[in-house]
Amino acid sequence: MKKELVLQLKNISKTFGKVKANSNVSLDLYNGEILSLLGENGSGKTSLMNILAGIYFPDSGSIEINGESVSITSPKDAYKYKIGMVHQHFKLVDTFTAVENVVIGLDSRFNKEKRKALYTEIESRYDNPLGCANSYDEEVELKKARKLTGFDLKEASNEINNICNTFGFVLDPKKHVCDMSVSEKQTLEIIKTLYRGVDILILDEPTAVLTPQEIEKLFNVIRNMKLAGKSIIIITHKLNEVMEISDRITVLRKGELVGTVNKTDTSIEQLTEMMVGQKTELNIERSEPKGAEKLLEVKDLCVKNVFGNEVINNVSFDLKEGEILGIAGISGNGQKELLEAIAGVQPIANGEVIYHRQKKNKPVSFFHKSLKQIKRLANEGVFHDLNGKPVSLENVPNKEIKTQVKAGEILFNENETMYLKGKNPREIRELGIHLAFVPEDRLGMGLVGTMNINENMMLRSYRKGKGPFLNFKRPRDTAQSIITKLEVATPSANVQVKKLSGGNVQKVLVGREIAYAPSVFMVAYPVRGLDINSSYTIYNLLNKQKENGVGIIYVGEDLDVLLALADRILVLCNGKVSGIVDARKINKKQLGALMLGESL
Amino acid sequence: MSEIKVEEKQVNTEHHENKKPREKLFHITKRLDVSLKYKIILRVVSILVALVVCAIVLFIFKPGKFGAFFKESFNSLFGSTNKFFNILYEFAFLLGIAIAILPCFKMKFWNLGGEGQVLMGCLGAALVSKYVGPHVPNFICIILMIICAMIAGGLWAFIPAFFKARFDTNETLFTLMMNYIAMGIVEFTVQLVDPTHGSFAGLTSGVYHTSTNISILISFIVVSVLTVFMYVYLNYTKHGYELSVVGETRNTAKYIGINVKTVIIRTAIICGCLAGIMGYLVVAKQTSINKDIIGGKGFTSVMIAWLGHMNVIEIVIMAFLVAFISRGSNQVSTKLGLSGSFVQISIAVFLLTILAFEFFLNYEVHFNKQLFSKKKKLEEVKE
Repeated sequence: MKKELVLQLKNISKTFGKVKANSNVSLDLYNGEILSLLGENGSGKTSLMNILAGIYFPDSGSIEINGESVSITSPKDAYKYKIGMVHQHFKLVDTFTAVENVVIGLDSRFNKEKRKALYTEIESRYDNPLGCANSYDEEVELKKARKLTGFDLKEASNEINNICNTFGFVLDPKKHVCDMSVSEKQTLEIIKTLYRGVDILILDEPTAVLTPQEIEKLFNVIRNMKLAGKSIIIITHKLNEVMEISDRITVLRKGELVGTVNKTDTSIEQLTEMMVGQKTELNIERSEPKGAEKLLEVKDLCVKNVFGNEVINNVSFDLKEGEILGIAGISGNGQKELLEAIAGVQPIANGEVIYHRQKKNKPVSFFHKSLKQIKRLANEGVFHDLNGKPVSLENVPNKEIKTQVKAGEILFNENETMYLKGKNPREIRELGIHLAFVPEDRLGMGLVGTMNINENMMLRSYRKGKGPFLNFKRPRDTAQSIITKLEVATPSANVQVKKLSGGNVQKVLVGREIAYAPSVFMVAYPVRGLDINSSYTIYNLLNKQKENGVGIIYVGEDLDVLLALADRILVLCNGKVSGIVDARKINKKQLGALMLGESL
Repeated sequence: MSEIKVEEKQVNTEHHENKKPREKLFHITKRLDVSLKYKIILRVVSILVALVVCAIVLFIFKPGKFGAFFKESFNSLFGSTNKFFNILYEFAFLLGIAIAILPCFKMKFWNLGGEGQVLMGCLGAALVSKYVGPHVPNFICIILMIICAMIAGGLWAFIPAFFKARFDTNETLFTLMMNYIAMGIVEFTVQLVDPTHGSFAGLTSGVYHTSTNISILISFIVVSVLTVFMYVYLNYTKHGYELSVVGETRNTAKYIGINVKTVIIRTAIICGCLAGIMGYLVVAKQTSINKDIIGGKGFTSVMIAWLGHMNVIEIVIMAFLVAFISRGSNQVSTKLGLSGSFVQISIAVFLLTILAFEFFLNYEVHFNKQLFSKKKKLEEVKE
């Protein structure tokens, strides 16, 4: 196949307010090639592609398709130039079927013309151009033709099946979107663009939500499309996938073009350097978990959703101090509900969540125990002295014991158990349990988007202090320290949180939860949508917490990170535990099999 | 069939090739940061434009009287002491109801029942005044009237809030319909108690001052105190913080363990109680009650609260402007012999114009300068 230039972006610039999303970016695309658009978060990849898809309009610069200068002012325009985009967040109507989603938004004039053609065809068949029926059969046929309003879904289904056969997709056109898995939805989005006859297909982070097996399938399809002469642009963060699939790689950094390289001439290290600007260590340091004390115990947990379906089914596990327990699973398999049930946000249908509070070196007192009890417990070897040596009170006179107890020299370790079922987050907090939780939905649950950073700091602590009034000073100090320590890019602490970029929002949320001095720390997808640097900041923070003895539950989607960061990994499939494995002894393939509910 | 499709597409592209590439004349982007200076300037401009639009409306009815609107409006403000007090009363009244429904609005509980809650407050106060008043000293009567008004208003807000919290009913419709029930109850009670007058005319107990101007002044002071209270309540107290969290996202409220139901009911009751106090003020000044005594001010106040961005200071300014327009256009319509509807039209036009200007607060319009210069150049070439 001859390589022809199909698309050229020349010096594209786009600003949002004061933020430069793209400045002077140029890009070439040939037919039958896969181009990866690589860059950290906020480097302007998606904005650039949105310009191409007609969602944004560039401030300056020009677009040439097949050598002709064009201006794309709407997604409809983009389809006219045979450009289609699959967005990261799918744009589908849940209650519609696959076919209906495909034809929605198409020009209905097309259908009218087809109907007209049908009329003329019938009329010519009966040799009667006057428009009124001469025979009964003709009338019946004309009536049928008149009833064909809207879209011809049957033909669209056939067309979809054709596309599926050509490129190797599997999709049932009659299935409703709400019944589809993420992978099916993505397939549907791709078919939607192919149905409109696109030659240039843009995929925005297509692998973010897929299992390794599904990714493989997707890549095969993409390769088939490439063979059919279509050009594909893939936006991504993931370097190994870039190396696997693409022909050429264009790297953006902070809205500017760093360069375009051929895959054969480059390496992961070079690409990282281009993306980040300096070489960063791709390894996450993982220390051995220190303590072995149980911190949190989940027993036969069942959670039902609003429709009464069990979304968590008999889940049991325990969390030790100073360890990171990773939770893997295809998204929507109960991760969200599990964390919310532990945090007290979702009601627990059945089972127990037990918190163990280890109180070390607590002095015994006569307030709680009598002399007799103390003697008995001492015989059992419960007590120790200030140096940690066991204390035995045999043959010690009572007077001596009394003075020792009063001086606080006899110590013991206590394991206090607390049941968290049926308690809301406030009640858990009032028990003195610092249960920090970074939910998946940052602005919808963890933070209040319209409030500023200071006010968001107050969410956890606003009840502190007596009287009806709020204390503004401490949250302000916390906010200031988070901004400086985590390098949150914001003009001041008085900025509404929703106006910050995704990474900074996450830093504010994680910072607040760490400032809460947690003993159990639950994080859901903390690096989703974050660039490499911010991700590593988060990993380091988590590791630091781990060293302080905090028990961490980490729900993640990037299996490489899970394998490198966690100590143990719990795999969820359909709300059930399909395995709890040692992260040091398992590989990605095995994990993928567990995620699909297969046993090892 | 697919062949037909391909042909059509070719037609489409050919058709497109004939056209010159389309370029946008302007595009609109969302504003991220709005400086205070810009906000103030925009507001002042919008108010001035709104006044001019009102004057244009008058011009349509009475050609040649463009300036009369401004003249009479300002006359209504500074013309005489009585006129000034009339504006003051209107202002206090509108502001009071707007402040009363503000916490509900901040919680995104769309309480359109200000009218009904004030009316129920009126009824409570009037009943106490009529039946208890003659038997107790005046100041005790006043206290009893206030308490009773607060209970009645609070109850009227509690009912929809309870159903919202318990069954998640739509509060907008619920509170709206409660207004008409309140009117019905007042009408019924009035017919029952005082069928000859059709109102509890001439209530004497519980009136704080016989002079109208001084009683207006007292109303104004009470409303000012309520306004300050509300400002502190919303911005500096734990309750205020809780209700704004509940208003923004229910999920966040659950996430930190705020009891959403309690907060909804508590806030609605506070709204109702404040509305009840406003009801007392109305009865004490008018010394009578009938079902139309509020005259739709409860609804106007909803718009004031909304256009004031749920911000106490902005609401004070908006309330004053609406009071000014209302009294001003009233003066205009009597002077020029227009019907009473002119007042309603002016208020509506005024609020609508300000609402339209909100667009520039949220969005920015960028014009394609190149295109303009091209056009100019073309014109130059033609010349």
